[in-house]
Amino acid sequence: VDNILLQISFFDRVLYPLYSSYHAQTYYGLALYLLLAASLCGLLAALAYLFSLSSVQDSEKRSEYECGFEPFDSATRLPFDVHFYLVGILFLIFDVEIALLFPWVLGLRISGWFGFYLMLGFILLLAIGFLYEWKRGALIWPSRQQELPYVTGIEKNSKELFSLVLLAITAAETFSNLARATYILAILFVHFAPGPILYLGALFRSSSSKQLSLLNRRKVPGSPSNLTHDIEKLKLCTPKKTDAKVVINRMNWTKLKLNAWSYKTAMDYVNAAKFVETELTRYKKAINTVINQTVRLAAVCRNKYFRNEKLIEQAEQTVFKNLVDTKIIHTYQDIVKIYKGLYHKIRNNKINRKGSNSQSNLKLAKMITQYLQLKHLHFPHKKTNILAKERALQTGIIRLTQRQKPPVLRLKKVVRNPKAAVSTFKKQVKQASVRSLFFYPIVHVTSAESYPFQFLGTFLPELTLTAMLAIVLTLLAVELGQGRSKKDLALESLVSLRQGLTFIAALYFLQLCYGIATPLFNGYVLTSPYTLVLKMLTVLSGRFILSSSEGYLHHHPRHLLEYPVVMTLAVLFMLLLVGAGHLISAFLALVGFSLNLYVLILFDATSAVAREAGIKYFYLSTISSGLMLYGTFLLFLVLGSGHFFEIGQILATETELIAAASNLLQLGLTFLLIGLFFKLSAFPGHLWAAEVYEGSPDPITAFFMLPVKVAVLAFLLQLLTTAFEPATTMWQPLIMTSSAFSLMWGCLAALAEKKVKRFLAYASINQIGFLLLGIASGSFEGHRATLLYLLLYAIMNVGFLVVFLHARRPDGTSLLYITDFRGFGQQYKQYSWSIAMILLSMAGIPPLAGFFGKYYLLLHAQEQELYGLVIVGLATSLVSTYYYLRIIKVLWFEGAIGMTPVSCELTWQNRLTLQLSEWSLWLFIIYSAPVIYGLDNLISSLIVFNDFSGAYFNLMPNTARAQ
Amino acid sequence: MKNTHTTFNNETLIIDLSLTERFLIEMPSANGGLPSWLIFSFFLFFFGLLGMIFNYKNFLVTMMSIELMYLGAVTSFVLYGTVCHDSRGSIYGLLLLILAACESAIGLGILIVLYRFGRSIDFSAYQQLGG
Repeated sequence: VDNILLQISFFDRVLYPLYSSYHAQTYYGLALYLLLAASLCGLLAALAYLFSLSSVQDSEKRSEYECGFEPFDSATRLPFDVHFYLVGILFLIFDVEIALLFPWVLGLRISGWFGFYLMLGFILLLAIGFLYEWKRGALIWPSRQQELPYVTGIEKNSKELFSLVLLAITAAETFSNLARATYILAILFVHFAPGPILYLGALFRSSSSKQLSLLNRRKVPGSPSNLTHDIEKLKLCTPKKTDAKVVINRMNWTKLKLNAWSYKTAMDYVNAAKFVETELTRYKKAINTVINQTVRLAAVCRNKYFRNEKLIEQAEQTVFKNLVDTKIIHTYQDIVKIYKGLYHKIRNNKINRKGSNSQSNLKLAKMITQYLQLKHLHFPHKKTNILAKERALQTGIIRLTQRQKPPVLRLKKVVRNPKAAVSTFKKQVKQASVRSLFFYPIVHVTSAESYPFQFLGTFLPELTLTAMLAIVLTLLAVELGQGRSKKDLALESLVSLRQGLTFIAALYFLQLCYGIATPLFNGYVLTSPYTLVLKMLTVLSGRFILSSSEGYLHHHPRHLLEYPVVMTLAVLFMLLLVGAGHLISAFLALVGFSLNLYVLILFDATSAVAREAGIKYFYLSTISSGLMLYGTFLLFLVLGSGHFFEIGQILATETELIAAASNLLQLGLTFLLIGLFFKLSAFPGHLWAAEVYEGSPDPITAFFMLPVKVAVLAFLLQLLTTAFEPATTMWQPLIMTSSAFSLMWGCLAALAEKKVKRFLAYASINQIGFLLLGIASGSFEGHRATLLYLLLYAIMNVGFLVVFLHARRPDGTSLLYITDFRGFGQQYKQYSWSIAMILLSMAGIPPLAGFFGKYYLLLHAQEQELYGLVIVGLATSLVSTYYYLRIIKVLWFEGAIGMTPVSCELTWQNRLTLQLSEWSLWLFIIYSAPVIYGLDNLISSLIVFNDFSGAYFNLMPNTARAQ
Repeated sequence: MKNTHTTFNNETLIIDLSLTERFLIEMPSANGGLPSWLIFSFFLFFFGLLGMIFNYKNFLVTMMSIELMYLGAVTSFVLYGTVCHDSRGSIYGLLLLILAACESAIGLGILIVLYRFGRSIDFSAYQQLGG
């Protein structure tokens, strides 16, 4: 009945008016209009089709993406513009902003004026950013004819300054209380003093760097196919008129061809250059165009994608020889033009070209002078001839060999001596950063009583790391604008961030000494001795990887400018993960470092294996993140809270709830744990490990092995001992299964493995199995044994990786096969001895520390009557001895006959690391008691949560469950 | 564990209930399964997961599936916030939305890198690693 009624009403409302005569009249005009419009469209289309029918099928027509912009050139780049992505990302950002604005509107009644002004400030910030981008010309689609839009000069900068000041005032006004605003601003100023200064500095500098980057984006269309064929065709149809216009057209067309990136080899360029030569001799009139084309060709020849230096040189020589041979260069202006053009091209190509710039520039300049000297140029007047030649040479060489300064830099207007200003500025920045780094711990950590100080004192290391990352990024921007090479900058930032990480570890130690243990952000972030120690471990292992990747950065052909920053950011997220006190904050941190890991793997995107590793890790990591997220949601749904200690409380007290929703709980916990197993590369998520380890660059493999494992395992232990301790029966089978299968899989797969990195992957799966074994036992001692083994795992792997990351085969590549270690023992006896000890410790040979690690794990699992797991652990430990001994055999007993052995140059720090890791394995038997005692304390600081005595939470605001 | 008596606009939102009672009242079919208002978002998530597993060969489709998966989870949180009158659900939804946006942005970046250097976004083109 309902349906019929619905139909009637629908008919009444919509269809009936169309049928009735009265309404039909009103709609008649509309229908006619639509009909007319449609027919007109059709007519126009037909006309266009008729008149525009042409059989021209030139390369331009056949080239792809003719939708209103010109594709830009490069050998292996995409044939469409980066602007597409820029606009796409802009849309994405607006998407997010709308998501932010929507609840703001809904919640305005609750948030009141404070919320209104806060959001107004946010929108203002956005608007300023938008205007800034607009002014900079980010929204303008650059075409070839158009001059590149870019704004320079102190006038514009002063406007930006003004907008910044305005922003600061608005931000201050949002806080109704002036005193409070001053206070907050003062804190911000002292804490982030270098930030604004640097930002201002960057504004001055960014114009030049922006211009460089814009110029770098060359825009030449490409039609990749049949180039030689086209050239032949062009040669055949020689025009009869030697008209300059025709020449220009022709040259433009050839330019399209010449700049197309279909040239697979540099020899094609040589051919093309020869062709240009014939063109040159024919049409001497179109000198300007010809020079431009030639210069352009020379620039393209120097494209970075042609690795063969000899061929590039050959192509260049041909070009310049032709240029000089044809004797079409008559005047001094011509030479200057060539030099100018070359100068610009070289500058534009500067960033793209590999190798040291100044050297190749010098080479080029020398080459040109050689030719110019060899071939006597014929100028109309003798005087000008000599003068012009000399001046041209001088200016040319000076220009080419000089390190390029930023082209337009108006600092001179402000300061008389820009160099001194820059250097003092740098000094100030360094001093300020040092002050902010060293001043604060002393003040805040010691006087952690009132709220903001407590906050700063507890969250100080993370804040410092964030500030440091901001400083380094800004410095990178500033110094990049000064024309420094990206490699140098990357290495410098690596050094500074390495020192920063050490400093962070020291801060954690300080906090540990002062006994700081407070929840922050309503308990979303926790600090306890346990988290502090594990954060220290994470930071130190991250620092180790960062310092070990110096060689990788140094030898990599491409620039890896942001590599240290991204790696440190990943470490920062790991620290947040270790300190997470809530399911959501943990998830955010976890995905945060995963995002950085994708980027880190794909930094080396030119290598096919790295691409494969990147895509595989992205797939599996995303799946695991999704599973984790849904698991988190289910737990949150059932328990009504995500705080670890509250979850523990609810699970312990609300037995009815657990009974009513046990399925959902089990499902959520399973999803969550499977996601974590993926990140740990334990059993259900172990499949990616070998390939990602193999494909990633060496330091990233090490990064997967050390800080990632440490952080995720620390989080897992915290989660299971604080939140889900009452629900042990739910997770214990999962952990046990994962542990058993990881143990078996890792050990069996490592047996036959020949490649070092895959071997490391399988060995680490096996070791993760052992770590999970301790968690599975579910007892205090089991957790302690897990922590002990985690510590030993980190120490042993650091020792092994020191050598692995610095060992190089004769051709400079890193070790691929285990057999590459041949002859290492004879050459580096001390290192080999240390590695042998470390490997024996990993295998669990008695006097070494690894034995105790495994012994405690198995002992405490046996105490909990997990006999099956213990048997699996023992068996795999036995089997694993075989493959560790295999490496030792290769190291010591397989000589390098007929092959040059690997080289391994260690700095004194690295040697010290190696020695320390070896000796700590030896000394554990003597000094085991303090270690065990310390770990006892750590575990008790975890267990405190289960007492709910509030020892760690007496400062906790009672708003966590305010619903 | 009792909730406090909260009023908003003279309207009682949450009554004094134990956690179990709240759970059973607000999630009628929660005895062993998902409550009915969550079925939609669960299926969003589930189809996203299935899409990722079955369409792993094309990276673009995978990206869409990832988005679907995250959308499902985010919708679940927002629905929880709405149904249970708990603003935390919406807040978490927003946070996760940001993450999803980051993930998709980086995914797009990976896509570009793969196509630029590898000339393919087909998963089967990346199969050279192995023992």
